[in-house]
Amino acid sequence: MVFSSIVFIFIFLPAFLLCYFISKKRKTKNLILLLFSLLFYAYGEPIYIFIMMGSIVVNYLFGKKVGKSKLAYVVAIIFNLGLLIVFKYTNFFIENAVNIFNLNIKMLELSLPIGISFYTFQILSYIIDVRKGKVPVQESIINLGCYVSAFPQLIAGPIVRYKDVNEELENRKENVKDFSEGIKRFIIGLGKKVLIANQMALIADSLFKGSLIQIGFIGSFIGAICYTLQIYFDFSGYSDMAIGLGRMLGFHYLENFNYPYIASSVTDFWRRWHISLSSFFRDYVYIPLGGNRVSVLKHIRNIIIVWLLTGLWHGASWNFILWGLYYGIFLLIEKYLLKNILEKVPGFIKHLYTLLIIIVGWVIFYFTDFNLLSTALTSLFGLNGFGDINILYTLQIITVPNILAFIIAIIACIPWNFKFKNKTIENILLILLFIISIIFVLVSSYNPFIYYRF
Amino acid sequence: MNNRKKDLALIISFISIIFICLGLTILNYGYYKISGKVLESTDNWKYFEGKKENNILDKIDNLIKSKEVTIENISNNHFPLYYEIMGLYNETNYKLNSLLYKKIIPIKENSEGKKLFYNKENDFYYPLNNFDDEYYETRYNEQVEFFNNINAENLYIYGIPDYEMTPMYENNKVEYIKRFKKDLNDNISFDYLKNNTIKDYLDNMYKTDHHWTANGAIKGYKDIMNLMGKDSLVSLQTYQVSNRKMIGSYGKQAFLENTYDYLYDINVHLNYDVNVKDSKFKPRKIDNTRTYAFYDEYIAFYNGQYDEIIYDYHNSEEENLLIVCDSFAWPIDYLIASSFNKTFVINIRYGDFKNNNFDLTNYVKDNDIDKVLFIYELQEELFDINNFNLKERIK
Repeated sequence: MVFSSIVFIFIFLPAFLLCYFISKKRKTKNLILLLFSLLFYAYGEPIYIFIMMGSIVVNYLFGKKVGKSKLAYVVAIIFNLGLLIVFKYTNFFIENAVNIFNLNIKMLELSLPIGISFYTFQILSYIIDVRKGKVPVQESIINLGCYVSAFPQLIAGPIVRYKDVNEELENRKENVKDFSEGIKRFIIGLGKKVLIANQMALIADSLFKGSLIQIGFIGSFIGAICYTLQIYFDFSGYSDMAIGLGRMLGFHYLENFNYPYIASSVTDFWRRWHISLSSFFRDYVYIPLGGNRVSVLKHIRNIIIVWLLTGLWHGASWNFILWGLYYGIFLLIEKYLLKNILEKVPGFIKHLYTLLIIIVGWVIFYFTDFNLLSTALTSLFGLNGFGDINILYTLQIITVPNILAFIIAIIACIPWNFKFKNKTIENILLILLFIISIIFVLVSSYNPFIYYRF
Repeated sequence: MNNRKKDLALIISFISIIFICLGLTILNYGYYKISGKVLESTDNWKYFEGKKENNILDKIDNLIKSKEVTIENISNNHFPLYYEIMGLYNETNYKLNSLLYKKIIPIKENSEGKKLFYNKENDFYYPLNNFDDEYYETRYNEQVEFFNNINAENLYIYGIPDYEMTPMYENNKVEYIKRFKKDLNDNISFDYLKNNTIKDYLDNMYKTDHHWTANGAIKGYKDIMNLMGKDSLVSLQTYQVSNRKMIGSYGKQAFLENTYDYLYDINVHLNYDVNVKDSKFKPRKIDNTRTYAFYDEYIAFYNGQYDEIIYDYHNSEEENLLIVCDSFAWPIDYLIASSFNKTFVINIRYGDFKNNNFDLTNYVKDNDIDKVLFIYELQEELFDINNFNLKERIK
């Protein structure tokens, strides 16, 4: 079940809100949140729900021990990472072992549980922070279950740190202002997803799933730009909906995006993109390894490890690893080679340089097949000619809805810091946006969500 | 305080919308359930195809997922004003694109990944594929190999070209037709419907549907009989079946009523027995009862979706024929069959063939078949463009 679906908006959500707000006690509310979250998860994963539930129970028990027992701590880490590795990476390892060593091993018939990458990291943050004494042990299994499985952020984040919601699990207060702000955020997120991301997806897929040579530079460039916009509005839209839903329930999740495409360097970009993931790796991998307070060689090692893991987290495929290392290398280049230069060049040059790196990065992210990736990159760099301009017509790239979606997307990438003076007008526009988004949800049969399988 | 009121107003509006839509969906569904009425359209109805059940977990998984598909079908199809909203959206999309394009309007990408266009100048829809040359070449070679390996002494192939396979389309693949003729073995005879001009195309093909018209089907029938060295029936005329507008597959995908066809049939009466699964088949009849504008008239009128139909004209002196086909054969299979004794019409998309392959070699042997005829859309024969997977499914 995705947020941008009729089943979620008009069946699940009203049923949940009714049950949740009818209850008076915090414990009952949390129980309802947990039950509905498990139902939400079971909708997509009727069998893997048991893994989720088992994980909650096991980590609840581990949580009581890890503060005092290093063994329990190590076992907990291994257990959680082990689950992730088994489901997400086993077949990747097998495939590579077969290819490299010519072994005769059968791939496992294992599908990837939805959201496992997200909730595993959330559980890890709980276990690690309890171990370090940063947070108290959660005595209520229901509260812990709510933290791990809360449907607003279960499927695709943001990765919520336990310390950020610890207090709110017990002591949050739902109120009119938060609920209203939550609705606003949800509607904006829904609009980003169905009005912009889905349109950009149609264009990107039309170009990238056809002849990469025939589309040449023009098609590859447009495809890359549209995919760049798609992935941002898709993911940030979903984060907005998650933050909005959480806000309705009194949770204040941290922001996950901060207008990443206005970044003036790759370093700046990664302070603005998927903030919950980059901060997780910073706090739980980079800093424990020494961060940048080590020798140059060790710092380079730390960066490479973090970005290797970041790439791998995104998917069990070499292109994701390449993508992670691509950014790792650019971060090192900016740190050790370009730092002084970047400080001196005009803003628009910095911005252009950053955008080009980001766009090429997304092309690497898109293609899991290396042959296709290499063709796409050669086309993007003009090595397959300018391309047949007719494809913009035959692939229905140049249409009025696409042009409108593109213009809105570019405008929405920039923080205008605009605040409505008249709240009534703001509300009317929000409801209009909601209605238009619902129309698009209804008519759209094309609703892929990129981070669904992470 | 004022802001609180406005916050409340937003909350009430949002909650009202979701609860009212939920309520109306439930009421709409309840009405259909209680009254026993059937939804006019099941075009948006998803059918659940479960995975193979190796254990109890797979069974549970399939059961739950089938219920989820049911919930989605109900919530989508019973959503208040669902079809009206779809119509409004598609009309708006069409009108906006008409501002930019005067002659050929881009409509949308259909569920098969083809881009649908509307030729405003000549008033017809057509789809375009998006494959590279390597794809076409690979698929072509596979299809040639498939046909050349069919174990039949007398094999005939007849293809119906869509717009993309006509000289009118700039990036057509017409050169493959000449190659196909040359690359097939000597025991194979091939021909195709000549949609070489716009006039031919509009005469032979529906404006709003991927099928050929009755006129096109008659021309095809004559070509096929000529190909097989048989005389065709003379004086075949067409007649308009009803005054009901027919909006075919393309129009349905576009969800627009800006253009339409009328359904025509061939005016001929023949005496024959026709069996489906050992029981006598119902006579051809016209279904005029549907009010839904996008109802698939083609299916209602013609034979329908069967895996095996057997015509018997009791001409013991004539040969037996096997026709392997899809819906393109429906308007003329009984006409072709009139020149044979028994005609076996196989459609691997339906019935038993959904989950089983068709053993053509043994079928020909068991039924004493003398000639084998393939009737498909031309791109299906040249490239398996619809992924029917003929080469794996027909042995």
